[in-house]
Amino acid sequence: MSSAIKQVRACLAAIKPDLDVASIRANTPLLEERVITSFDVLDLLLHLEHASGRQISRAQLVPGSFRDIETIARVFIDGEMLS
Amino acid sequence: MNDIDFKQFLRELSKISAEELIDPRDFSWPASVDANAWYFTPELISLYGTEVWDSLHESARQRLSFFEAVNFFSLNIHGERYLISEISKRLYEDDNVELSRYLTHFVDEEARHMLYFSGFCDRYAGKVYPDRSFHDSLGGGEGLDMFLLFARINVFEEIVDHYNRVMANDERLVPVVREINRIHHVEELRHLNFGRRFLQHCLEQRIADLDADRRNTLREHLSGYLQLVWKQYYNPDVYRDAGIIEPFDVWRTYSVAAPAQEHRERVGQRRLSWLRRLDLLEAA
Repeated sequence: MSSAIKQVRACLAAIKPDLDVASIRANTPLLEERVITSFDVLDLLLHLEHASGRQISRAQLVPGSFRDIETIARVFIDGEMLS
Repeated sequence: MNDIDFKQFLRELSKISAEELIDPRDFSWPASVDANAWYFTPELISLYGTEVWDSLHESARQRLSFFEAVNFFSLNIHGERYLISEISKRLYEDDNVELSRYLTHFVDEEARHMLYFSGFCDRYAGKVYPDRSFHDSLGGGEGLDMFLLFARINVFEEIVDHYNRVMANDERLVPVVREINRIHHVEELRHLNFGRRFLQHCLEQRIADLDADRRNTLREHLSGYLQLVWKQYYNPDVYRDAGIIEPFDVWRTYSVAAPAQEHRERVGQRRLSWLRRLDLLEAA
């Protein structure tokens, strides 16, 4: 498992203490399957910023940015921009 | 309220909005602000009543109050940006012209409020705090989108108005902050009045016929939204700018601690009970 994905899992565990994060696959659609809702995103972003050490730009918040753990790791930890 | 009464109500609101327009160009901005002054009612500051608050000297509390004001004005800018965008998409979409005409005033007033809020943030802090909220589609369907939108707007505005009303009357605060809060409170009263009547009207027209599952979904959605609104009042950027040590840990600990929960419940009892009576919000 990549370090970025581990960091995202840790952030998810922090905002959802009751969630069995280990059981969620890296490509599980998080919003569609209501693992998280759009209302959880603010907390998640603050944890991701803390984990990555940099502030997230508004440009990164596009539909699809929170698709799954893998995408979150690419966008918010590795800094890849979704087109 | 039947359709005819509701249309008359909308015409009256439009008339008042046109007659009582407050122009931001008339606002008097001080050239600078004093570091040793209050910008936010101490009892409303997000860390009030915590060990961190107790450890701060008065000058540090006042510095925190300045950045709490910048955060409050910033979250208002983002809230108004969202509602302007969502309402504008729906203007003149159907044949309810009175509704769209009033909502045009509503949007105009919200855009002018952004000038006060951004005027303060830009002049005295040199920035607006970023928006970290993420809005997916309302997902109301079946004509419920407008209802959900205004239910959200009212939840947001009821809490903001509580802060506005308290701070407009708090003589400890610098005049510029009191005046921005006062102006916003005056115009938001009309918006709140509209929102309550509009939601009541929708309930009478069609929401009452919704089955239990749909009503549960509405209630869960609005309760989740309420939690999001409250989260925006606790910002680690504020604590960092105010010089508080370990701002992220302070945010993580105190945004969910007892003083914060008790404060939210108190404000909710005062301002959101009417939504709970309509069974649109979960009990506190």
